[in-house]
Amino acid sequence: MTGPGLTRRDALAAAAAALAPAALGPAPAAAEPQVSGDADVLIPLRRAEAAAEVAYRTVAMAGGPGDVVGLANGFAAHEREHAMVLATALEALGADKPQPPRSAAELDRTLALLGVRPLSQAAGPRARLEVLLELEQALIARWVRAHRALQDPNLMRTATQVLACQGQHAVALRASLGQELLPSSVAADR
Amino acid sequence: MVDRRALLGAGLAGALLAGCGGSGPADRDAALRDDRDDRARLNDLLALEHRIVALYAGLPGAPALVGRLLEHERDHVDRLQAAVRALRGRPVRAPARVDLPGELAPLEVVRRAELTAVDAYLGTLPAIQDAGVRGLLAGIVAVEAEHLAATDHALGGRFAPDAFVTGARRL
Repeated sequence: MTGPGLTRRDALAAAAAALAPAALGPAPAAAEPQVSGDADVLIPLRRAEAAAEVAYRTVAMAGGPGDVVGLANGFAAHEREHAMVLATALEALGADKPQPPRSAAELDRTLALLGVRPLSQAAGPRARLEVLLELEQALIARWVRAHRALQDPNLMRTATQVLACQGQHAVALRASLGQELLPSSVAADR
Repeated sequence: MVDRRALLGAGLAGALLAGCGGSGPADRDAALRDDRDDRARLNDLLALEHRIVALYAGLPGAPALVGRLLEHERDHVDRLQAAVRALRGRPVRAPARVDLPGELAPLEVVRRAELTAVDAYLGTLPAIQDAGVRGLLAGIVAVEAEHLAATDHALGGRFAPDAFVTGARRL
């Protein structure tokens, strides 16, 4: 999606400016990569977004009503984009990116770190959607908190765009579960 | 058109996504450079929220969804006023009157308002110095995006069509 008047040249110019050394802080004196405070903020978010992609893929593969599978596939693609953007940002910041969970047990452990019930124990499509909604709420809380800590303006904008997407996922999941669509006027940060 | 994947491949994702909103990167860079403080920026958002409250309250024949959104927007006004006061500022007042956009269905007015709200918070957040205020605004913009999802769905669209929600100035 592009805004009115935004050209590819605009985006490239902004991109180059954002990734110039000045935008990432002073150059490290030594050859060792220097991990910034923003990287510390983004690493757990990358872990969480990568886990979210795996969780949605798992739900899609588990099957169920077509609308549930369609939703899970669509949102898995979104989470993948979020995880990719975070991986790119971490690379630019000189930080390693956490890898996605490679098994159901690993996914459950990552979900537990986020305060979310294990997906492997969710029986049936509805229970799986409930776990996904818990996961979205956990992601929203972490993205809200990230806004307090992030320093780079471009990373902040990306964080806001991702946060907004997670909010929209939550609305769709509430609709699928027959819950109130808009329960709160402000997203909780915990 | 910007090819997001091409830029991702070039390792330019963060800056690209910053530039995908309704206002271009030049506008937003200018917003970052200006010397206004958090109070002024919060008052800009407060003025927009006042306007949205007036719009929603005045929509004829609006569906029930709009009543829920109005409750939320009024709460946003309250929270922004409190934030301005906490920074020892003076909150802007609600406008005496707001003209409704002509010839638009109520939900289309709402959609435009929510797109505008998302764009405004997205543009303001990186310039805010106070971490606590940034947390408040992040909590609000997440809900503005939820409003947009519910409105889009009520209009026959999808809840969450895009991986990156940008908003647009439409009011």
